[in-house]
Amino acid sequence: MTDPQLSVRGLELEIATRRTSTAILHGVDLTLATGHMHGLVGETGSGKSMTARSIVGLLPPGGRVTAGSVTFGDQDLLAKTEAEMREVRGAAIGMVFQNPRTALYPMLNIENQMGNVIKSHLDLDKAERVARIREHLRLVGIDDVDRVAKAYPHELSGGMAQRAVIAMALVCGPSLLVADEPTTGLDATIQRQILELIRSLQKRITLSVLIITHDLGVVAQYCDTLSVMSEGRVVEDGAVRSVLLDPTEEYTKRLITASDLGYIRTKRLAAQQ
Amino acid sequence: MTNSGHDATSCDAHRSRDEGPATDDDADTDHAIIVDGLHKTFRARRGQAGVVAIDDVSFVVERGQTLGIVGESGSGKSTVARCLLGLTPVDAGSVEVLGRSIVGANPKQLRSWRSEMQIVFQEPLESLDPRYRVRDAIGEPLLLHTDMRGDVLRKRVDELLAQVSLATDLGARYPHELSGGQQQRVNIARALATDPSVIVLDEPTASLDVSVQAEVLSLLVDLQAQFGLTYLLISHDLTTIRAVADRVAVMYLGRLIEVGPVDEVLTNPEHPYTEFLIGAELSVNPHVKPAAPVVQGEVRGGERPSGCVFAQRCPLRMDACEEAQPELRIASAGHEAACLVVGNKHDLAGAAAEYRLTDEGS
Repeated sequence: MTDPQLSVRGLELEIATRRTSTAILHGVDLTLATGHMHGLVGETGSGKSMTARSIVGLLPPGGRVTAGSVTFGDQDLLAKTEAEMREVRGAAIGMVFQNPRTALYPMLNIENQMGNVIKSHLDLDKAERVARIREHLRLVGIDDVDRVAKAYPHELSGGMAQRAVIAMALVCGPSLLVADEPTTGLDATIQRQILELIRSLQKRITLSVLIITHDLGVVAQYCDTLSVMSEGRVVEDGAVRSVLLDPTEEYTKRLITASDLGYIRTKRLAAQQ
Repeated sequence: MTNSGHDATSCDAHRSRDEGPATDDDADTDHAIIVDGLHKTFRARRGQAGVVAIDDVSFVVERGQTLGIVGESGSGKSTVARCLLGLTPVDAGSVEVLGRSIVGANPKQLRSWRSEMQIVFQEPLESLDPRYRVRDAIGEPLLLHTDMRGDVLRKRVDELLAQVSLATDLGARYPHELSGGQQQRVNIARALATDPSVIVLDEPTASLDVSVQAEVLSLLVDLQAQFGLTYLLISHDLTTIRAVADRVAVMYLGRLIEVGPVDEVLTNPEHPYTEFLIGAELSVNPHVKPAAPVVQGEVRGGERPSGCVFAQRCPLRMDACEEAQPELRIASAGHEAACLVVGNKHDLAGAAAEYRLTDEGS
């Protein structure tokens, strides 16, 4: 077992409105080993996205981490200022969100957007930037690099836009990719293309991946480890095989049954007898 | 279904141009839905080429059964659902639901028939009027289609709430006060209110959480058994189709490319696209690996190919595929696929690996 790339301990998060303050996370622990893919799985309101946002320091208005630690390599991320976190995000930690169209700025073509990301983190001249952009677009499996580099987001299909978002997340050479529902809303065959791409990238450039998803199938097929979240807590975690094949918690069992749907089929066939 | 026998025959005739009679040659078979040679093109302006949404689609649904239509974005599956209920006019072809011809029916007829054919949409909240309390939302179809009023109406609404497992006191709430699952139960109760025989389910659980999705699907299965409902289930999700449907129709770019009993199609797919689609279904069992390789490319819009709609992405493509649209061919009893390889053993994984190599080489 290699050193953990990312370690979250006892994370507590509150979101304050004008009068009241609501506890969202109640002591979340999470460990992501270097080069692994970890699935953070849960239903709406389980706190999976808030955990991810706490890690990268992108909390919603009124959000405040009240306890716990987030260690990335040897850095304490919670101790960093907003300016320091801006250095980390996009450089050491790449991010991919659910809807590729909203993650991209509509008024700039892909090349210029990626150029801006590079400019804010790396000291490269124009020719070096262009070369790096092309290299990363090819890395994410885009064949017609010239067309995509000059394209505006609306000119790309959903799958192609998500590839561009991944290229942008990787262009400064991060060691950790945080992907929040990266394939939700994409067609099934495109979802599999994107997941296969993330897996191959993980091997080719030594990338650790934290993938936030509601889909246990994604975790079962692509992750090494997982945390199952419910109501702001991790209810069960561990290696994918042991948790999904031999769950100990009721909640995990229910989630597996509900994802598989086999019991509904059994019931239907019995009723037809 | 007095005239369904006649139409089943014409449907068979359509299918059997070169393959002999289709399997449902039993004239007594009770078809709740008969769709024959359906075409629909959406045009921005008169005379423009437009987008072909449905291209020569035919299928039947037996009374009391569920046909699942599966496909990805742009496959035309939702347009089929809308055409079926007369919500979208068709360009050509015929649609019969419960023996009534939907094509050419006037709006007044369609309205009066709607009590027997209902639809549940994907977005539960958007399907409900925010100003109507749950009780009024469920009672609305009864006010329109029946003369139930007062106590009788109230009792019927109570009964419907119970049938979809909603507590009676939820009747006083507004839609936004309910969870997504509860909202969808209200839509199902509304659909059930007038005692329909046919319900079209257009991605009924796609926007719900996993556990809620399972509950709603379970409810739909129970209601079908209880009332002998006929379902046309539109879904992008094969797991849902496998759980709920008796037969499945696979659509791609407006064409019906494979149809048959769920078990048969999903275990012995004949069309390469169906095989890829099954491969994209990710099992929650880590030991069950995807059964097919990853398909290259994406659905392309734009100019329609003169040959097979999937040829562009197909590793098994032959010259003949580009020449004409393949007709549905019989693979086994009740199982048909629109592909030239039907009945021939093929190695999709091997072909896909080779296809990828040549693809990168070019």
